[in-house]
Amino acid sequence: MNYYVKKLISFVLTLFCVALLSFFLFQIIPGDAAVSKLGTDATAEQIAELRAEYGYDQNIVVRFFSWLGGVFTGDLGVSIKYGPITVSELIGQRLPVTLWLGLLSILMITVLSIPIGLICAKKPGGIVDKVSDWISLVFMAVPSFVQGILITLLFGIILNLFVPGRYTSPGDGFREFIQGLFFPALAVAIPKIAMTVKFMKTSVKKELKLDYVRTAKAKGNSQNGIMWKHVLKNSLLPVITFIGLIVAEVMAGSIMVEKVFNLPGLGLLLVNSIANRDFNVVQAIVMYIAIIVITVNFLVDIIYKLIDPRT
Amino acid sequence: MQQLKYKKVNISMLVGIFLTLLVALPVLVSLVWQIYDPNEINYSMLLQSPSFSHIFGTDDYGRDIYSRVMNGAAITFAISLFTVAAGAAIGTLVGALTGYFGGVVDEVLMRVNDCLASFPSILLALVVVSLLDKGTWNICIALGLVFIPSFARIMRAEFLKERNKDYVLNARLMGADHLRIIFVHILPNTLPILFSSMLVGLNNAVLAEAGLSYLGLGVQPPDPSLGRMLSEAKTFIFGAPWYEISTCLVMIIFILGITIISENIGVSGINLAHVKKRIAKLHENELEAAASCANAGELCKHPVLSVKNLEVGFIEDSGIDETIHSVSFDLEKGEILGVVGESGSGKSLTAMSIMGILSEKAVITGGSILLDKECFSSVKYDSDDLKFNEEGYADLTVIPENIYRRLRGGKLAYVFQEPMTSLNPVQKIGVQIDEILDIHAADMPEDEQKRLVLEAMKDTGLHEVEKLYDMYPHELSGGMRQRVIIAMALVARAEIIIADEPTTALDANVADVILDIFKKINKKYGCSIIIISHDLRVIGRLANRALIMQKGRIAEIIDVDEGKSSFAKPQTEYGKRLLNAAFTTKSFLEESGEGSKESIVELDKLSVFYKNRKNSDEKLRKVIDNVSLKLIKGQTTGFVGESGCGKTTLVKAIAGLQKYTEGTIKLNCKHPAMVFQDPYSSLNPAFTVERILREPLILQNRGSSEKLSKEQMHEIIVGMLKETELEEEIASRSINELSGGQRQRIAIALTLILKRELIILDEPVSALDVTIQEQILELLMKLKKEFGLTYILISHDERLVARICDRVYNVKNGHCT
Repeated sequence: MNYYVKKLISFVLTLFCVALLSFFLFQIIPGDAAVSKLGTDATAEQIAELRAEYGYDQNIVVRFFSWLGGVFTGDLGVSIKYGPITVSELIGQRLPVTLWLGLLSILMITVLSIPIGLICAKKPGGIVDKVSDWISLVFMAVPSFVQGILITLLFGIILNLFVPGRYTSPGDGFREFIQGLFFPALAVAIPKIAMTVKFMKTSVKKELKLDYVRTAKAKGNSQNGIMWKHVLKNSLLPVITFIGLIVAEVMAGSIMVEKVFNLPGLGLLLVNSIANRDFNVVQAIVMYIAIIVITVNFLVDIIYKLIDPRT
Repeated sequence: MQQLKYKKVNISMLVGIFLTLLVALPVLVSLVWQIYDPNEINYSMLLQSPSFSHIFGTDDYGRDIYSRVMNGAAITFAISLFTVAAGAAIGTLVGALTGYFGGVVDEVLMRVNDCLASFPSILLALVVVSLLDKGTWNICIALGLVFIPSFARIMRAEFLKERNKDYVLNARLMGADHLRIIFVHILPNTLPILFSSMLVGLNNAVLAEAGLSYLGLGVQPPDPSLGRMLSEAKTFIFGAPWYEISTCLVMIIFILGITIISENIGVSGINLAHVKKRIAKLHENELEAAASCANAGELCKHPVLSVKNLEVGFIEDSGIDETIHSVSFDLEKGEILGVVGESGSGKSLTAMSIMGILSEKAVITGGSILLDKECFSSVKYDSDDLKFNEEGYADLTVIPENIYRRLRGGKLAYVFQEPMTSLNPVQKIGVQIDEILDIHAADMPEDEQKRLVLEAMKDTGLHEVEKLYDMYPHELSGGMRQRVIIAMALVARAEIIIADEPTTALDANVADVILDIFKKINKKYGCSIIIISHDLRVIGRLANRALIMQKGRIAEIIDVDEGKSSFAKPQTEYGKRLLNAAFTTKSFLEESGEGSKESIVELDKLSVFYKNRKNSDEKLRKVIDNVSLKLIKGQTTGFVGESGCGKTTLVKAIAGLQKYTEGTIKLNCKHPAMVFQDPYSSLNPAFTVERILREPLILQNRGSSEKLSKEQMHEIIVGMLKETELEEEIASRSINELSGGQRQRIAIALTLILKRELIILDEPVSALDVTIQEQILELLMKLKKEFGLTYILISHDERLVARICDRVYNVKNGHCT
C-alpha cells in the first residue's frame, strides 16, 4: 500500500480512538452536567428537563456520534458555567492565543536548538560540549512555571518590557502582539530548547561515529565541511521526529505558562473550567489539543518521508 | 582484538550521587527526627528571614520552612517513586509482551499507546485528576497512568531488538518456554535501559507533581509538597524571597543529581586533554632523535611512501598502551603491497596513521611517515609550513592539518572495509564522488567534473553510470557500493590507494571481480596500492610483496608471485604457521568405510515461502523450494552457498526455528542444538559462563524427578569446560571478558551439556582468526568422535566444507544439489 495512504488511514484511526477516549473518559464522572448545574436541591423533574435539553437522555452511542459531529461542525453545546455562551464560541476566542504562543515557541526551539546542538557536539568531550550539558541540565530541572515566574519578574516587573496578561491580536498591531507573546513563548520554549539541544547533540555524536564520516574525512573535508555537508542532514532526521513529539510538550507547557502570565488562551480556559467542573468545555479542549498534536505528527511523518531518500 | 575497557571512577557520576544524597539524606533524617512540626502555626514568627533557629526562615503562617521543605520533599518523592515504579512495572509488562510476541496484540496495544501519547502528559494527568477529584492518591493514579505508555514504548523497542538475537534462539533450542525467555533471558539485558528511563521518569514525576500543585490540583493543604510550596511562595517573592529560593533549590539539586546519574549509567569517559599534551612533548623529542639518524639507512631506491619506526598507541587512564611497535616499510611507485595479519595485529591502525585519520583515542607516539615531494605537486601550500628533507620527503606526522587535508582524498585515498555504511545515506552517489573534485579541484568547471566522475565510475566496471549518478546508496548492492568507493579513489587520480579489507564484506564471486578492478586500475593509472587483508589468498592474487604483521610488529616481508598467487618461503615461525593455516587442505575425514546407513533427519519435499513485502510481481518468494534429502547418523553434512541462497533458512527449519510451508521434516533424534556464527551474540551477555552452562541443567531439572544439586551441576559444567579445553576458572567470568575463540568453545560446551546427537554448525569459525579456526575445527572433530555426534555445517567456504564434510549440498535459489 502507498505510504501516504497508510499514514492517512492511521491518522484517521488515531483521531477516532482519541475521540473515543476523550468522550468516554468523561462519562465516568458521577452525576452529569445537569446535576452540577442545578445543584443538589433541584427536583427530579427539573433535572430530567435539563437532561433532555442537553440530550443526555439519548443512547450513549448516539450521543458519541453527535458529539463527534459537533467537534467538526463546532456545535458542542453551551458552557455550563458561562451560560448561553457556546463551547465553540469560548474556544474560538481562546484558540488563536494558544496557537500563536505555540507557533512562536516552536519557531524559537527550531531556530535556536539546531545550530546550538550542532556547534556544541562538534568536539565531543570538549569544553563547549560540557558547559552546554550543564546549562541544559539546569534549565530542564526548573519547572516551567518557576521559569515563567522569574521571567515575569525580570522582564515584566523589573525591566518593564511587557505587561503580563496583555494580549493583542496580530491584526491590531504587530509590535504589541510580539511584545505580549515573546516572553511567554520564551518561557514555554526554554526547557524544550534545552531538551532539543541535548537530543540534537546526541544525534550528531552518534552520526560522528559512523563510517561515512570517516569517508568524508578521508576525502579531505575539514571538520566544518564534515559537519555542514554530511552530518547536519543525517542528524536532523531524528530531530524532525523529536520536534513533532515536542509539539505535545509545548501544548502542555502553554497550559502552565498561560496561567503564569495570565494569558487568555486555551490553557487558562482549561484550568479554569476544570476548577468550575465545566466538563463540556474541558472535553472539547482536550479533543482539540489532541487533534493539533496528531495533525502535527502526521505532517512530520510526511515531511520525514519527503526528506529521507531511504524511506 | 585487544579489549579496551575503561572502568574508572567517573567524576560526573560522583557529582550526581553527591547532589542526590545532599537532598535525600536530610529528607530521610527529617522522617525520623525534626525540630519543628512542619504544620505548626506560629503567628509571632511570620515570614522571618533565615536565622540560626530557622535556617530557611519561616512562611506566612510562621511555620518553619526547612521542616516544611523536607516534609514536602518527602511527600513529593514518595509520590514520584510510587508512580514511576507502578508505571514502569505495568509498562514493562506491556512492552515485553507486545515486543516479544508481536502480531495483533502488539498492533492493538501500540495503537492505544499512540492515542495516549497524543495527549500532552500533563493534560492527561490534569483530566484524570479532575475526574477523580483532588488528593494525594488520585495524583498517584493520574501520574502512574501517564507513565505507562512511555515505559511500554521503550521496553517494546528493547524487546524487539533483543528477541532476534542468537542467544534467544539458543535458549529456545534448549527448550526454555516463552515466559522464561522473557523474564530470565531477555529482561536482564534490558535492565540498564529500564533503570535509566526510570530515573528520567522520576524527574518528570517531580516536575509534574509541581505543575499539578501549582494549578491547585495536587497535594491539599495543610500538608506541604514541593510543588505546592513553590506556588504558595510566589506571592511573597519580593517580601520573603528565601521562601521560593530555598524550595526551588532543593528541587533543582535533586533533579540535577538524578539526571547526572541517569546519564552516566554505563558511560565512562576518559580525559584526553592532558594525556595528549604529554604525548606531543614526547613526540617532539623522538623526532629530533629520528632526524639525526635519518641518513643511516641506505636509500638506493626512491619509494613514494616510506614508513620508519612508526609507533602508535591508545590513550588509557594509566598512560599510553602502545599497539604498533617500530613498524618500517617502503612502498614503491606502482607497487601493490599486501599487508596481512590476524585481527588486532595493527594492520588498519598502521593504514589509518598514514591517512592521518586515527580515532580520538589513538595517537602516533613515534617514528615518521615520509611522503615523496611529487605527491604534493598540485597541492597548494605555504613553503613555511611544509619542509622537505634532503631526499625530497615530507613527514606526514608533523605536517599541518590543513595541508594534510588537501592530500586526503586527492593524493591519498582510502577504500574502507564496510561498503554498506561508508557512504552518506542521504546524498546521491554522484554528489558524493563529485565532492572530492569540489574539495581538491575547486576551479574545475562543473561539466568537466561530471565527466571525470562518470569516467571513474566506468573504470570500476559500473554500468549505466548516468543513472547511478542520481541514485542513493541504499538502492545499490554491496558490490556496487564498493565500486563507488573505489571510484572516489580514482576520480582525483590518487597516487596511493589504501584498501582496507575491501572484499571481506562481499560474496565470493563479487569479491573476485573487485580484486580484478584493483589490478586494472593499478595498471591503467600506475598508482601504488596498499591492500590490507586477513585473507592470504586475497593478498596472493594481487600483491607484489606481502607484509606479515603480528601483534603490532612486522613479522616479515615476503615476495609474492602474484601471477600464480604463490608466496616465497616464509622465514619466521609465525609466517609459516599463517601460510600453513591459510592454504592447508588437510582433511579431517577418515576412511571409515562402511558406516551406519541409519538416517537421522529426513526431509520430504520441504518448502519455505516468504511473503514478498515490496511491490513485486510474485506474492511469495520461495526461499526453500521442494527439497528432499536424508542426513546419515554420524556423518558431517555440509550446505554451501552464497548469502541469501536459503541455506540458513533450511537449517533453521530443521532446528524448528523456522515454520515451513509444505513438506515434512522427520527427526530420528532429540531436537538439534546449534553453534552460531557470531559468538558475541549467541551467548547471553547478562550471564556468567557458569550461569549460561547451568541453564540447560535447570531446565532439565524442572522436567525430571531426579533433581541435580548445585554441586552436581558445577561438576558437570567443569567437566564440559575440560572437554572443550578451557580452564576451570573461566566459569566465574562474564562473557564479555572472553575472546572469540573462548566464546565459541563455550557455545560448543553448551551443546554438549544439552546432550544432543545432532548439532548444527552455522559458520562456526568464520568470525575467528585463521590459527584459532584450526584449533576449533580440531576440537569439533575430536568431540564428534568421542560423543558420536552428527554435524550439519553451513558455510560459504567451499574449502572448509571439503575438508570436514562427508556429504556436501550446494544450495542455490532454494534448491539443493
